[in-house]
Amino acid sequence: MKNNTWGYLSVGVVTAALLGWGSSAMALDVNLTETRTYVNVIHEGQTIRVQRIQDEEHVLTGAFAKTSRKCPPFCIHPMQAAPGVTTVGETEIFDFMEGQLRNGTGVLIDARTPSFFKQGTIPGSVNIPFTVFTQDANSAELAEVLQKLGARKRGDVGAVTRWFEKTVAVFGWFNADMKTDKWDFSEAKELLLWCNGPWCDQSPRAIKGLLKLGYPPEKLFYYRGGMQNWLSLGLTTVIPGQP
Amino acid sequence: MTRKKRPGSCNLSGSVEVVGDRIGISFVQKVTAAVLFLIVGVVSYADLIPPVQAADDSGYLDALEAEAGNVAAAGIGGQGAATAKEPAQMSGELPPDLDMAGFEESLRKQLFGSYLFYKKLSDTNKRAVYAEYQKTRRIEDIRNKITSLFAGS
Repeated sequence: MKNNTWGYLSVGVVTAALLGWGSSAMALDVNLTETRTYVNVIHEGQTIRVQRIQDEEHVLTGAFAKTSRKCPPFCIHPMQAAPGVTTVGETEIFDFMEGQLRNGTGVLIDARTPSFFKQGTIPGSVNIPFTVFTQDANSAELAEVLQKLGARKRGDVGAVTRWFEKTVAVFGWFNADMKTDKWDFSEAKELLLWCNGPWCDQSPRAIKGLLKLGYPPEKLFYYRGGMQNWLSLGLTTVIPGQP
Repeated sequence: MTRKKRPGSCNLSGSVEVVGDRIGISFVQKVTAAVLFLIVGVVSYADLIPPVQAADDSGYLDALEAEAGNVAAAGIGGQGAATAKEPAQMSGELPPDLDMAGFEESLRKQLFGSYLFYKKLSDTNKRAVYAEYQKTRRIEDIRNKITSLFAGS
């Protein structure tokens, strides 16, 4: 009887250990934060899990291992892209992915030219090159993009109406501070823009273009770290168009 | 030391003097002409600005394309799309449409502890586990099936 008891106990302990081993294969050693293991994000209709490379010996290779590029044009950028625009880091991007991106109130924008985008991007990003936002204000392409971002094109706004709007904009009444002669940005989405990293001018240019068009700065976010920092943390990237 | 003049304004003062001396017009006319030339000069200068900026943009775009070429050649490194698929397999389900051998291999890779128990099951029970996989693919269900069959065997 005693032998049997020890036998059952041994089997139980071994079983628990082995099942535990199986479970621990799901746990990650290299987490995003203390409380976050991964973030799921929809990219091109597929759920992509954003996590970090689990190989603790992994080092950066490829083009983003490079430290030095000619400046100008690839100069180090200040922390703030423009007054009123918030600079964010990776954890804020995770929040954005789980918040605004998921509920449709925000867009993650890879502001680089397509030749960079096609090499790999941050999951959940859409490619709107900075050159779109620096076009002439009357550009049809620009208008189409702005409408997709939630801005509404205004009809003819009378001088009196504009005067009134400009007057009350100071107080933030009637969303007047979100309107220009041509655009109403009161329902416009929050945009988080990024490019190659602290040495990249593409997303700052996009942000400046958007501000010039009247996009409210409080709806703009700048991920200064860009692809450079994203990769240095071993975070997941996707190659557009690949299943 | 000569100072480099800005494009669009370089001929302005000289042109006024030449016009005035040759025609011999009055002071007021000279001033009027000067103002007109000044306006023309400013407008010309303003017209020159966009091409200069466009040239800067063009240079920047060229530099970007060269850099993008470097990225294409060296790759971005890190965790690419292939790895991005792997975590999807860790989302609580085994990959779909695996045959028996593929299922066992997937089990071995992803749930090694359960796989050890699975290996000890009879062929009939193994097929029952595989049937469970075909039914749900959920790791939790497959693990429970293995555990219950192992306990009952």
